Amino acid sequence: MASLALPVARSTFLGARMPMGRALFTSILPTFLTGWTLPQIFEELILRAVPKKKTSHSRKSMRSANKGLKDKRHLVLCPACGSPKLAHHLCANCYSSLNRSWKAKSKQEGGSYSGVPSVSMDS
Amino acid sequence: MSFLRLAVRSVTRPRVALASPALYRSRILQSASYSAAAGLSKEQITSRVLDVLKGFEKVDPAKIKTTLPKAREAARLAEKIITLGKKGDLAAYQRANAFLLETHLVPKVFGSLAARYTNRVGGYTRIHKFGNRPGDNAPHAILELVDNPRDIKFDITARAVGWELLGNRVRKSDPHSMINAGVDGVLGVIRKERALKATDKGELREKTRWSLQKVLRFRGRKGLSELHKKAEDHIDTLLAKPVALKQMIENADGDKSVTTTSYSLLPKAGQSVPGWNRSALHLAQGALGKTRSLPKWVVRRKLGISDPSAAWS
Repeated sequence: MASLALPVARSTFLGARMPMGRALFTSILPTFLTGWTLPQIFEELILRAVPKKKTSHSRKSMRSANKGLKDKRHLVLCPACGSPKLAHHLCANCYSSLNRSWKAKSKQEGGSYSGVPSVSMDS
Repeated sequence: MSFLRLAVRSVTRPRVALASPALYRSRILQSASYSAAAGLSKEQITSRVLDVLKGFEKVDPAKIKTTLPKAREAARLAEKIITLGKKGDLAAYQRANAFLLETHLVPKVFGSLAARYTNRVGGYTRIHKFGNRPGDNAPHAILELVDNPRDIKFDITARAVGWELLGNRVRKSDPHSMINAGVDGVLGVIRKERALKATDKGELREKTRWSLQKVLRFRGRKGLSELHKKAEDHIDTLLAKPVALKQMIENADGDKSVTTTSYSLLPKAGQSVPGWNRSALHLAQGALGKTRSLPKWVVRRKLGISDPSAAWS
């Protein structure tokens, strides 16, 4: 990798005579590397980080020991209907029954619940 | 109220010097701090919050269901608008008109909402956490205006009061006799519990008592009677449901539609009854399940094999 330093330094040094230096540099390159920019060439010729061995089954399993599904322990009973629910959350059973009762009431009163609220002083 | 009419008239007249609505809205939103944990830009977040506010009036004017962070931001904005409504002067009206996307709602904010929240100092909205969204596991929440006609906390507190009183009475007396008689003295209990402190002994649990006091605080006599009625209705429902269900199943005579609805109404796994003492986690961990004769580590239990000895055959 250090041996590649010389032609590179030359092309960057010749700031004013850029086209000529570039032509010189590209002439010494193998054909498949012409037309590449300098950072690209560096990336291709220098070896990157790579695994040394296939991770064993045992090591893989040890790593995924923590990845299992976690139990939800914050379960409580709804104080209104007694069905299980998440702590600090709304009871789905209660909410759905409330929604059903409101829908039935609005149907009884005629038409859907109007999206435009009336302008009134009470509620 | 004539002042309001004047204010409305003055706003509708075209003016040159008024700040543009978009500019004013952006000024309010810039002062809010957003946690861009999802990598969203501020513009994306503000546009989403504004969409949420737009949806506020579509189905139910008093509540919306959205993700928890959006609900929190929308709550902040909604409370600021209600504060403007409470101020009630011309400048506040102009600012509210500039911010809100549906101008016919500004009279509602300055009229009914301001009247509803005259005595309440802040906290005009409430956020209920509501599980996770199935598609992306995003935490959901329901944002509602406090003391609205369909207040969720009010209804659930009323039901909780009914449940608890029924549970207390059922322990003392026979449930069969209670089905006809019901529970008496609910109004008296509610009145008494309203005045009690957290450390005092009463019929309700500490948390139920606290919720009761909170929902009744700014509702007056009408709220008390509404809560009483809802609690009694819930008690009647709880007492009547098993009886009605039994009758429905008996009278079905092979009618398939009846049997399916009745089985959907049957109590499900984990469902408790009034007067139940044990925690939900006990139930989830098999408190009412079959007790095994041999210790767990002796027999490897496989799914579907009910008899432990079959595992060795």
